[in-house]
Amino acid sequence: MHFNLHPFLLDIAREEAASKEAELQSLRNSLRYRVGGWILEAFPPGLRTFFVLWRLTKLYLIRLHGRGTTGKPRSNLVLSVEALQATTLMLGATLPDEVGNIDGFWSTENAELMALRLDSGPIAHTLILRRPSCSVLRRIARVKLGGAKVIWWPEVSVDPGTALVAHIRTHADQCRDEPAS
Amino acid sequence: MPGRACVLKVLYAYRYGIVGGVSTQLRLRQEALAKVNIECQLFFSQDNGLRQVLSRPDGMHFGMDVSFGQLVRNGRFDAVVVIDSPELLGPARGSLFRRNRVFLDVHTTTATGLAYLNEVDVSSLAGVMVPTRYSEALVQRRVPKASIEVVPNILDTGVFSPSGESRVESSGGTREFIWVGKLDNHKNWRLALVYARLLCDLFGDVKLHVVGGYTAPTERAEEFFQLAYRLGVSGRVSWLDRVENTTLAQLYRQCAASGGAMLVTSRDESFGMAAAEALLCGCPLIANDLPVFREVFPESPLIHLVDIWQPDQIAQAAQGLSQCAFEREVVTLHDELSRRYGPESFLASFKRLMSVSP
Repeated sequence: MHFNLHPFLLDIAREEAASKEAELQSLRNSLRYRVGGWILEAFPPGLRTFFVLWRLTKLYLIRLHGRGTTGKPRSNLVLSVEALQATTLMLGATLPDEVGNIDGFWSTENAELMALRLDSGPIAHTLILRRPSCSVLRRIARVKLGGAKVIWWPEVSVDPGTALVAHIRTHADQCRDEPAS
Repeated sequence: MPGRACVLKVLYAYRYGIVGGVSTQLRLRQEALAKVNIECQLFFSQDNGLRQVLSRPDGMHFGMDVSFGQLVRNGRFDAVVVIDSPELLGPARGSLFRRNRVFLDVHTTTATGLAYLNEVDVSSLAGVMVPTRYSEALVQRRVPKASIEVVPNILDTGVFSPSGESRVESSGGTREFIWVGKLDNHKNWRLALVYARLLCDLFGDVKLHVVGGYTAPTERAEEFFQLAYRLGVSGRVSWLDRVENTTLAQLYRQCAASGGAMLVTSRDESFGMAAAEALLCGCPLIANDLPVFREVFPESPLIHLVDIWQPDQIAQAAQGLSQCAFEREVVTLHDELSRRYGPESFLASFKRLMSVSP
């Protein structure tokens, strides 16, 4: 028996309608549309005309100051030399007892920092995941393509019935689902 | 270009320094222009991962290193081409003492994306360019007074070709499909996951490579994993957030060899670069029947244009895929696309627009 796709298609169709509505709203919010509306309000000349002139001046000043200020705020996360040179990476707080000292090892509990390492450092040989993280999981196909081995080794028991755990369990090269301690 | 005088110096400017898409196209244009003594520099307001994958970042500038206005003033360019970034149009004109010829290149096709055209003073532009006649019609509707020139995209027919080494690990007897794009509504990524489920029901052993989405916000990434899970395809979908072109070409060839195809669920496209690149590698296409595809692609048994909202049509197209390569058709299609979208076609249109003798 085939999976019923219709509820999913319906959801996407609803989202399509919402997206059209958003496009319309964006047009309504566009500068030309708004300014056009204000100019209509300015006639016949009266007290409202002053308000419209004030709005136009304010808009001009905002755009003058805002010009050229594109770009998103930069993250202030910084990777250490140790992190950049490490060949075995671990996301989590504790190394499993079975694992002894590893040369070129670096770990962090900060998933965003690990994501930064995966984006900017050389490809690691091994990535040990002790906890599920969306920021890291979205990068594991690339990490694997670069030749790294991904090991799923949770620190504590995790619910296997969640999207992130289901993903990591099916994409990791090795799963060590038993809690380490 | 040592030893040879430049006939023209051009600056292309775009907001997003993203891997793939417009940025890749600009690199191809830069390379093609250099061969005919036209110096082309590129400016990106943001670096969304592009710089890291560049082996030779020659003639490229990023907003965090240099101000666009400063670059324009100091660069003494003959022309500045701004792509879908209205905030750069003003500074592109240069100083009061040295005004540049500014061109607008429109690649977006969404109503929201095109809305900025309502606020652009086209009379101050030296020209407007678009990659297809389809885009031309969209832009003309918004700026009826603009003189628009179709400047076709360039396809990298060297990297994207039917033959090449296959370094990507193949999944045995699995039918492999690929979907490429940003995880946004316009590309309709959710539908790709829904059809991954349909393909699993049809063929059993299926893998869908989702390529792109490096800049997707966290909530979108979470939604991706959630939807895959609800559809029961977590293990069938591999999300490769960014990839180099050589690896992408290998993935296309791998999908083709497995009897799979590329899925294109986009609501609209200005050209269909990724789809064209897949076809160059001999990877069949199951794509939404968009007018631009009928313009860009010749007829071929590798191309299945369907109503993307009809699962039956997707299923029928997928069942019609053959694991035996259409070798002759693949070569014919590669040759035809190379002829239409090789560097020569781009250069001819570009030079005409810039009033450079051929």
